[in-house]
Amino acid sequence: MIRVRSDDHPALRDPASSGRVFFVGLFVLAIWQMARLTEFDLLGLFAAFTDPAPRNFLLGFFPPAHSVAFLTLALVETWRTVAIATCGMFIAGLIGLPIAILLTRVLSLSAMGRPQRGGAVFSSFLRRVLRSLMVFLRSVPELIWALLLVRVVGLGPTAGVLAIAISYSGMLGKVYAEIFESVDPLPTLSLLNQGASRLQAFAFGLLPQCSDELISYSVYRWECAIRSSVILGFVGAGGLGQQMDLSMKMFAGDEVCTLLILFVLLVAFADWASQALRKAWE
Amino acid sequence: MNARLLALFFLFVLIIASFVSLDLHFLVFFETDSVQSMGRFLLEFMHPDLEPQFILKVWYASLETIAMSALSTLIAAFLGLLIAFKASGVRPLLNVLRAVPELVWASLLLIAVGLGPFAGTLALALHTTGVLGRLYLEAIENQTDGPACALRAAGASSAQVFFFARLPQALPQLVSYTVYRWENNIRAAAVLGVVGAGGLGQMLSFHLGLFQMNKAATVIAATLILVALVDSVSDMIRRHLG
Amino acid sequence: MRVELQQVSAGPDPAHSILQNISLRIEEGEHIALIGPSGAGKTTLLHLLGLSLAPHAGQVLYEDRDYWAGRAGLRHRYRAHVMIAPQTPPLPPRQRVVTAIQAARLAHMGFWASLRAWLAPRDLVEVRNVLAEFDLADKLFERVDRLSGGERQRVGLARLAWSLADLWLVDEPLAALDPVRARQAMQVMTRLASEREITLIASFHQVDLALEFFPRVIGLREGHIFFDAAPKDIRQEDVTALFENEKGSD
Repeated sequence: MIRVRSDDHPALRDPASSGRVFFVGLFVLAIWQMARLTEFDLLGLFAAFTDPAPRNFLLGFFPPAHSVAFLTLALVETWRTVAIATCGMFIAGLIGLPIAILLTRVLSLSAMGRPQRGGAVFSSFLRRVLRSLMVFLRSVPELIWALLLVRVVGLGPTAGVLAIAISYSGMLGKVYAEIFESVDPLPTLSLLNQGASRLQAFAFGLLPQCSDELISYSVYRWECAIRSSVILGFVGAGGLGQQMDLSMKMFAGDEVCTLLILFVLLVAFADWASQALRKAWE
Repeated sequence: MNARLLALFFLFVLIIASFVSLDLHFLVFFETDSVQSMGRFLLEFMHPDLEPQFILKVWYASLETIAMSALSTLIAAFLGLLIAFKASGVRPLLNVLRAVPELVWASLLLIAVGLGPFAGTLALALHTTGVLGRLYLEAIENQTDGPACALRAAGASSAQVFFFARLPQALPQLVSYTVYRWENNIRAAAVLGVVGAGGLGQMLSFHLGLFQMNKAATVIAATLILVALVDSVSDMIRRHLG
Repeated sequence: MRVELQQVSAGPDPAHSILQNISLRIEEGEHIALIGPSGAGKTTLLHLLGLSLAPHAGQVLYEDRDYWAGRAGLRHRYRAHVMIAPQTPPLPPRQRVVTAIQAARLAHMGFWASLRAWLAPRDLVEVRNVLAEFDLADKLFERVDRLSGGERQRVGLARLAWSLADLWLVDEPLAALDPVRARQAMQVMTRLASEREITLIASFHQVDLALEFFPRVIGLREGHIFFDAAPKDIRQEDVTALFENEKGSD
């Protein structure tokens, strides 16, 4: 047992301390730089609430707008939000499902009996191209898709539907393919061996094993799409978001409040509906 | 089985009603004018603007985007810790913060603090506080009580118990949640600008508004690179933790 | 510290008392070993003495005061005087040994002092010397989850030694140690307690070590005190009877 008496004994130097000092320094520097870059100004925030415009906007929140005309308009826009999400999801499924089937190696006829090669050169190349296309489709945020599409097809729900369809098809294609790859391949392979076609093998061998998971994931995504479709409205793709954007630009606090309440109710409803659908399916 | 049929029927009606009620015009893609303009767009898109001066601007906007996402995540993490430590009563407030999307917060805050990255940062911070506050609370509530009880039995105050038992025990989990949210926030920060809240998004909507597709292409490319970069950094952090 | 139990019943489950109607007087600076079969109530007794378990009936008096009858704040402040060392020291996995040890004095530190100790450990010389008593000097900055079971248990004892409590309550301190280390740890623990005039109560599985190192040994069986005597007055038959399976039960 060696007793140490002096404070600057090498065994007492905290090996973490220099690192800690360094990181704290770096941290402070980073925060300072970031605050500068983001024009961070908390005093400005407080000052903002003494300005008449934002203050009146906030004070306008209560009571929420409740005229029959506005409520009808808001409800119609809420339905349009749901419809945009539903159409977008439907098209995304139409694109995503075939791609997922193409991506699934178990279903590849050219790969049968030659698993080590992963199929013919062309079909494995095709799979690779499809896969990177899927990655590209879903890594561009849907809001950017909407922004681009609004320039092409003009303001309105078409842009919203297509934006959701494009970015969600990438997501669905990838996840569906993962689900297909994760199930037991033997039933599918035996069907293919008996001479069944690709689609037959898919419908009778693969699908029955994972239909629950497929439905449950799609319904969950539908719920996400409703949230997205509200957001897309802000760039002019129709629905609740577009109306919210308009009301904000007119500083109509009461209308914004009603729309926010409707939004929260809509999200809660979608959550409830998706859970009910999934439960009904099980 | 009946329930399944009912669910399918509901979905069927929903889909039909959606398509019928929206005035969708996909035929636009087959009209000569729009095909021509799309062709022009695409052509310009293939030639992104790579002038040094513009690249510099994009670089600055990328830094701004990173700063918005990181600073807002830090603010949210700090508030989340405060909530996990002392204020489990604010749960309903957290639900409200979380329910309102970042973009809606941003457009609300634009009215209060004006255009620019400050509004975007605050918007991200508000939404993220809702998310992280709840995750932190759950992480701290679900951990084993042993270390905390031992310190309390030795007379430590609740603040001391938090710093010497609860926080170090939950830290890896909290860091991993925070990094995950940062990943999410950089995506959000890149698009918040379309309502005027700074960063790459603001540049994108500006140049798209002027139909400068070559400049828009550069900005989109920068966004994709940025997101991929942050994904790999956060992957690294998580692997280091695990 | 003088502690007195008056007809106490207690247990973690409020509907069921493990300790039944126990009376006991512990003088200041006494060293007491608790032995007995598992389930006899040793751990319950230690937690009861450590103010972390309220009695179902009866009174626990510290220097003639009943802290369970008083305000919770007062009771919590008094906990600075007691230190329980559980059998497996409950330490957060990624915490470093030095921080885990310093946590033993939290009750004697203000909030800011403890925050500073959290950020940058203090009193390194003394902490290292305490660890050296248990052969752990080189583990000062090691992470707790990188220690072996035996090392962790010794960190638990070092944490006890670093605390400023006057009453040490130690649960099976030797369970994870090999015989040589167990004897060493026992020597250090009893020596430190004598030097600082600390009241020490510890439970053991190793009857021989308990009889060798402790002047007073209490045998617990089914929530009752089976014997309470000096080692020289405890016969082999008493120990055998203490651990004997009850007739008719399995």
